[in-house]
Formats: sequence, structure tokens, C-alpha cells
Amino acid sequence: MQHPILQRVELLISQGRIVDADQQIRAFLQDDPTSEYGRYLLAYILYFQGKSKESELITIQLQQDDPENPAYLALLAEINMREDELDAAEEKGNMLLQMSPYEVQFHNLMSRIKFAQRYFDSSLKYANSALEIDPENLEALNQKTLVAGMLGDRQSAKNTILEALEKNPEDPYTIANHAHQLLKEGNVKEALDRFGESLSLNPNNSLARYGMQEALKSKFFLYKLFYKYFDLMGRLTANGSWGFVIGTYVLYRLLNYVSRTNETLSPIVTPLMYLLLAFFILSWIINPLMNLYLMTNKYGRLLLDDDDKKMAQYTGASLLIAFIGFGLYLTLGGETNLMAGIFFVGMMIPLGSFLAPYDMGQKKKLTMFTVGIFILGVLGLVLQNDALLTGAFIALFAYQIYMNSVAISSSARKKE
Amino acid sequence: MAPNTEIEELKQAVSQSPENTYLRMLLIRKMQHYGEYKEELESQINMLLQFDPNNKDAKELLAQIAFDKGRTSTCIIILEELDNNDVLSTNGKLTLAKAYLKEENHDRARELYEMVLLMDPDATDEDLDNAFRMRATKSNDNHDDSFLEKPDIKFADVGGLENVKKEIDLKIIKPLDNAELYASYGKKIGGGILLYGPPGCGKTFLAKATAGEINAAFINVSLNDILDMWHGNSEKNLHNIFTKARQNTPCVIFFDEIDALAAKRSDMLQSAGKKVINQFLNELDGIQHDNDGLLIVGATNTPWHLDSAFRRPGRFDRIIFVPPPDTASKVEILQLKLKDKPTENIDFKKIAKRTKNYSGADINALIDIAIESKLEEALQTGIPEPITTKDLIAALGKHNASTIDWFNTAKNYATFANQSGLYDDVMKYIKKEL
Repeated sequence: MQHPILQRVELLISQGRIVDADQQIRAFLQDDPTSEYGRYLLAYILYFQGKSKESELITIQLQQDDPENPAYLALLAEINMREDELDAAEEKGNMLLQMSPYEVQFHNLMSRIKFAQRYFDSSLKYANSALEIDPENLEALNQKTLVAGMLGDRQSAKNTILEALEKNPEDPYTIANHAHQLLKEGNVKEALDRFGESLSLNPNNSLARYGMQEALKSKFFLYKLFYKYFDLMGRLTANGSWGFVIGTYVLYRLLNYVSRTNETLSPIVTPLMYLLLAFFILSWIINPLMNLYLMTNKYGRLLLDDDDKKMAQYTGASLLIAFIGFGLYLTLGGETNLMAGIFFVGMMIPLGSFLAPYDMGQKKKLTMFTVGIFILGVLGLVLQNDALLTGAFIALFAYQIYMNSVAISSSARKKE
Repeated sequence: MAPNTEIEELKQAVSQSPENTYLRMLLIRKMQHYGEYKEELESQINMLLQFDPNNKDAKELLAQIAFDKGRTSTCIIILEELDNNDVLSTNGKLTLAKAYLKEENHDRARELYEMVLLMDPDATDEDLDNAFRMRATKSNDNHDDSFLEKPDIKFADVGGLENVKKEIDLKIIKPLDNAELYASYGKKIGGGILLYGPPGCGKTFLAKATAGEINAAFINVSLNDILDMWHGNSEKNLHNIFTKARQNTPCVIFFDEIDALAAKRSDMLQSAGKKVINQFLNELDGIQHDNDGLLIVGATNTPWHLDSAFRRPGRFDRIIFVPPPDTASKVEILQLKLKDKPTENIDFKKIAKRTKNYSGADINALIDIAIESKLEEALQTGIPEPITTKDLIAALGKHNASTIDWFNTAKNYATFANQSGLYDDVMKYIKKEL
């Protein structure tokens, strides 16, 4: 039987009221500092607040007193996941499965770890093994839906999410997951409705918030195409992704060569070449540009975080300056105007991504690098100094190569 | 027919057809009520079990006799077998729990007793209560008259919040004053209102003033008055409060942090919490008891976590948003809080205007900060100086309005979960003030 304050804390956690839960549990522990469950809840709350180190410290102490308790090991694995220490999390996940091979939540944990490691096939295997133990487990059903969707197995994803909805039609995460699958199927309107439903139950649900943004943007046909493209890229392995990037570059060079050397094919090939270039640039800037649109939408405004808004504004400003540059070039001529147009088109790439790197530890470095490119380019344009301008373009190219490699290594599918 | 004659006749019938288990069971049930058949009862049960070895009622009776005669282990063996087969009745479980207690197996006794109370909160037992539910008894004692108040504050004592007071007046006080008129139009009188808004904005004070305004008794219920660690006790505590209120009508029962008692059932991890919700709904509906003259006021900072069942008609169907104090109210609060403190030419209006989105609690914090810095100065110089406008303005920089976070969350719900128009007032306030 649980002490009423601990019951209250559990309720606050399940409601996502972490600050209130924190206050209550600390007050409880002042009266009863030795309560194991109280300390465990505090560790859990700290984990939720992103205070991984503090949470880990308490959990390790608890584990030392009771090494057989799997709850402590499971929390440590969650902390590892939060800190992106996926190998350590996996090690603990395996230990938990050895301790309790029929505990469904540990299979779910392993599925999530494998998903984070981008080993989608293994993730699916653990989701399936969780469902073998408990075919009605909602978390396992949701996890299987997510992984099957990621692997492009639409039918399996659809069947599983319908099963999950049968178990609990009002669970906000399940509804968001359903909406996510609908969006992947290209059913934007229904996806929007379902994301809205999920958000009405829990406006802080991260999958629903992310999905609603994507669905709002997907109302535009162009973005819908890119959404599909990003989805497909996510399914490729690192080698596959590199192959695609290099292949696209080679194709561009080939088209460029044909365009310059073959007069007959040039009228067809040249637009294709520019289309490919536009596609490549758009793949980097479409997100911040669409975020500009979201800032004008009453739901979108609430869904974007401050960094997204900033990047959208910077990218929009850069695009505007580029247009002015091209406009001036077309009306008044002047190579500087043309270069300004090109530079600010290029500048949209770092401005649209520097605050949201795959590794958040890189945010400061990327910000400094972006500011550096900007200063170099603007100085080059103002002083009409070719060397500075060339430096800025090389830096832009390097930035883009670096971001591509980070994107591929962080988001490509892996196979065991 | 005299009972003894009836028993003797049944005995004869049973002796003529000993395999007739129905007859024998009738006999056993009759004998059960008369002490003089105590000894014979056991042999009759044993006989019945020879013919019907799976008769669970007979086994439970046999176990009860064994328990009464002090043969605790026999009792445990019989009842454990029934329990393992999931056929043990609630009474049987209570006997088994008592047998465990007698054998000093406290853990199992308590575990079983809790389970019984979970299934049936009224299935209490004095011995088991004495052993395991001392806390509950004590806390119930506290519920006597000590938590009944007769507030002497009225709406005039509440600074600002004119719109809210007007709304309460229209929705609650006027109906009570003009009961017949409202009834003729089929309008509801009394019932429940829900006050919601950012923390520290005077919801409790307002509830108390409402009680003062209608000259009613006031019961301020906190979570600790209700929640208890033993199954069944929370429901009992809640019922006791309503009973006390019904005995003292007109009465306002005020539930602070009502979201904890009336949370969405889907958020509840434990079934015990769900039972409290059911009990609460039952009390609110007043089906078994008359709720005339009861006004139930709930306050919450998180109305979105409330189970929707509580917002149905007849329950908390009148929902009122309590915003942070306006400038005039803040002037009043500042004057009140600084009344007995050394001050010098304070420009209350200026401070009030600078404390945008401050709650009453934030103003308290602001004054505390100003006093602390004044004390620090006085300790250094040795000369105590009065608090000035400048000190309060300096303190402003050290304290952020606590309502901002609340409004950020509320905005999310008001945008995504406002199908019923529940958060219209919040949205209006956000558009106007933030």
C-alpha cells in the first residue's frame, strides 16, 4: 500500500506535472529520507527534468542497496538513452532481459534502444517478442507500428495501430501514432484531424506536436513530396545514403557537362540540372521556409519552439535579401548583386539548420561557424573582395558536406 | 414451529436420507444460529462433506468453527485451499486474514485485508482494524467540528475580481436568495462550481467569501483530509465530510487541488484512486443522500486534468476562470500587505502597473524580497530604513510572475482542447492581457 503523498506524486507524474511532483516528493523525503520508493520517484522525476547526473547518482545508490531490483537498472538504462549512451543502455537492457526474460516492458525498452540506434530490424524483433508475451501491450503495439512504418511496411503498421486503437481508442500517443501512419500514407487531411484529437487530449505529446507540424506543412504539395523523400532517406543505410548523395552529385555534373557540350540536348538537360540543384537546396531549406508559414498559422505558432522560429526568420530574411540581389542584378546589372543573390541563397542552408544540429553539443560551434560564414561573405560583398567571397563559398560548401555526413551517420538505418 | 422442533425434524429427515446434501445444508444453517448445537454442527458439516466434498459453503463454515475453537492452522488450511481456487467469499477472506493475524503472519493478514476492503469498503473487522488501521481511525477523529468554519468575510473583502464575483453572484447566490423564482424557470440551485486559474490568485479566499456571502458554514477540505494509505479509508473520509456538511446546511464544501481527487481515470495508476472518484461522483450526485443546501466549490490550477465526468450537469457544471488580480486589486493587496510595515510614500499604483501578470502570491514574494534587502542594509548600516517605491521596483527584477508558465500551458489547452468552449475566458484574457 502506498503512502498518500506517493500516490499523489505518481498521479502528478502520469499527468506530466513534473515540477509539482518534484515539490511533493522533496517534501515527502524531508520527513522520510530513507524511503526507497520515495528516492526512486525522485530519481525518476529528475530524469524527466533532464537532470540525468543527479538522477543517476540516486539510482546508483538505490541499486547498491538492492542490486536485484530491476526497476533501478531499467531507470539507469533510460538515463543512458537520454544521454545518448546507447551502448551502455543496450548492455543494461540485455541484463534486464537475462534477469526477467518474460517481462514485457524490458522487451519494449530494448526495442526503443534499438530504434534509437537505428537498428530498425532488431527493434521490430523486440517489439514482436514483447507482443508474444503480451499481445495486448499498448506500448509494444505502438512501438511495432512506429518501426514497421519506418521500415516501410505500411500494412503491418496499419494493422498494428488499429489493434492498439482497439485496446485504447483514447490514448493520445496511440492516436498520434495513428495520425503519423496516415501522414506517411499521404492522407494529410485525416492525419491533421487525428493529430488535433491527440493534442486536445494532451497538448504536450511530442509525437503529436511534431506530427501536426509535418501535417500542416504537408498541405503544400511540394512539402508533401519532400516529406516522402525524407521518409525514404530514413530507410537507407549509411552506404545507401552516401551512394544517393554521391550519385546525385555525379548526375548533376553529368547534366552540367551535357548542357554545355550538347546543343541538341541542352534545352532539356539544362532545366533538369537546375531542377536537381533546386531540389538539393530545397531539401535543406524547405523546413525553415515552411516554418515561416507555420508562424502565420494559429496552431503552428504554438508548435514551433524558439529555435525553430529564429531559424525560420533568418532563412526568410536571407531569401528576401537573395531576391533583392537577383532583382537588382536583373534591373541594374552588377556582378556584386548577382553574387549577393547567390551567397544569400547558399546562406539559407546554415541559417536553416545551425540551431538544430543532430548532436546538440555542436550547437555553439555551428552558431559560430555560421556567423563566421556570414561575416566573411558580407565583407567579401561590401569590399568586393573575391578572396573573401570565395572563402565564404568554400565555408558554405564545407558546412554542407559536414552537415550531410553528420545527418547520414546519425539518421541512417543500421543493420546487424 | 419452534426452532428446536424444526431442527429435530430436519435431523430426522437427514438421518433417513443421509445422502441428501440439500437437506443437511438446511439443517446446518439452522443449527448455526443456536449455540447449543455448536458441537454437533461440526460433525454435521463433516458428514455433508463426505457426500459433497466440494461444498465451499460447508468448508467455510468448518473453517469458521475451527477458528472459533482456536484451531487456527486447520482453519488456514481449509480457507487457503478455497482461496487458491478463487472461490473464497469476502467473509471467508476476513476469517483467513484474522487467522493469519492470530498466527502472527502480519504481512499476509494485512495484504488480504486490504484486498477485501478493495472489493468491499464496508467489509471491516474490528480486530483487523485495530491491528492495521490505527491511522485511519485517528484521522477520522479529526473530522469533527474542528474543520467547520463560519467565515466572516464577504465579497466586499475580496479585492478586485469584480467579474468573477458577479458571475458567482449570478450563478450561485442569486439562485439561493430567490430559490422559488429560479425553480419556476427550472434553473438549478446550489450544486457545484469549479474555480480554475493560475496558482496564488485567491481561489480559496473567494470560496470562503462565497460562504460568508450566503451566511453558510464552510469546510475547507485538503487532500490530507481525504487520502489515506489504506484501501477504503479515503472513500470513507470523503463520505464523512459530506455527511458533516449535510448535517450543517447551508454549507459550502471547498475542495482545493480538486484535480488530485477528481483526476482523469486514465491517469490513475492505482485502482484505489478510481474508487475515490466513484465515491466523489456518488456524493456529488446525492442519489443516496439529500444535497439540498450544499454548495460544493472545487479549485484547480489544472482543469484539463479533471475527469470529464465531473463536468457533467449537476456536478461541477458551472466553471469560472479566476484570473490574476487587475491593477486595482493589486493596489489593494499591496496596501493590505504593507499596512503594518515601515513604509515611506509608496506609489502603489506605479508598483501595481509594473507587476504585470503577478498573482497575489507573487506580490507577497515581492514584498518579502524588498524586506530582505532592507534588512540586509539595516544590518550593515545599523539604521533601519522604511520600504520605498524604489525598493519594491528593485525587487521586481528579482522575481518573475509565476502565472506565465501557467498561461503557456493553458494556451495549449485553450487552442487544442476547447471544443466545448471551456477555455474561452482564458483565451480572452490571454489575448487582452498577455
